[in-house]
Amino acid sequence: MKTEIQNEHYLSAAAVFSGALERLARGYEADRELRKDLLQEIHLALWRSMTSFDGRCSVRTWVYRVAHNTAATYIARQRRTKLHKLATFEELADSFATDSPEKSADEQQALWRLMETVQGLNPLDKQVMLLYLEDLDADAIGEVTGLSPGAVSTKVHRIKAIIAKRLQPVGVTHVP
Amino acid sequence: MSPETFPNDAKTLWRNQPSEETVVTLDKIRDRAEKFQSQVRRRNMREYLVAPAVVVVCGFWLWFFPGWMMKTGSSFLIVAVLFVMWQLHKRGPSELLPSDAGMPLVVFHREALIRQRDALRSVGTWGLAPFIPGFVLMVLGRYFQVHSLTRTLAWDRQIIIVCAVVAVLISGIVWLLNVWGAERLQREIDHLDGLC
Repeated sequence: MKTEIQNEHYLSAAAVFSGALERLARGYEADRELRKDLLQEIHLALWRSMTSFDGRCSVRTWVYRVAHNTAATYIARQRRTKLHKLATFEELADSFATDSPEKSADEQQALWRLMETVQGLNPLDKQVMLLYLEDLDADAIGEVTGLSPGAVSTKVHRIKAIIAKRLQPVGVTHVP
Repeated sequence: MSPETFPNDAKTLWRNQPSEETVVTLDKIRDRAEKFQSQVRRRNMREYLVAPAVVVVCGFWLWFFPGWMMKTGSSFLIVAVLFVMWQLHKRGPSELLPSDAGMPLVVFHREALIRQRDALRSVGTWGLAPFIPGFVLMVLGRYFQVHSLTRTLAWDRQIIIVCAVVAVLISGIVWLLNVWGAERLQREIDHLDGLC
């Protein structure tokens, strides 16, 4: 019975956030096969965490917390066991080109730059940036991360500057 | 660049990136959980197999080296190796997935840094100190009781002293690196405290 409720909670969360979790995994892991592993690990952690979810925060906050903490643990473990592989432009190009032949070259280039920027950040800045890109507002980012409103605001300000600097050469000029 | 298809919004660009369409079902999750359990079982098995191997090698020293000092030193080293292995097992993660993953990210990160800091700070106590009695007895035994037949006594003792000093220096450097690592982690923890 308990497992059924756990399954039910997990399935409803996964249905809503599967896309966001896939993008989150992309922000952490450049290698496609390892990324599949990471994504499965995130889903496993989410499924297991549903037994301790007590509703004191929203499901969205819970899902992002579990996913980011699991991904950070995964990356730390990867670094201990082998050198963590950072993506080359060619690998990123391959990753996107096979998926999205309809996308323009500029759009793909902008996405590579964005991905490269995200993957190169330290864990906390990466987490804030990924939450920002998922369109969470400052309060929601603060709730997920535990950062003070001032710290979130400073980080978001820096993120906007970084994005503008990295994406301007390929034409993305509007950073909301 | 095609203006009609090109997004001018970084968030939109991010959220509209193509999906890899990785389907994760409950069955896949159960398989993954089983894989994790077998990984933990394999890790434990490795540790259980290494311990007897270490005892056999050190036991050979015990039999091979002459003089009570070197024999006692070898026994102490066996005990030290087993103690350090037990500490590594105790301090290692009991499972590969975090059990407290629902914590706010900064709190989770801070807890991980504290665990690493404490492990580095105490490595002198549980990782280096247990070897000291065995090491001292081995050096003293070699100095006073066992001598090389191919060198003069004075030359042999000089070599023993140099080797002992090098071993002490290496241990000192390892200890210092750990202390510096712990200080760096403390600075990170202080930085995180300032952000909350």
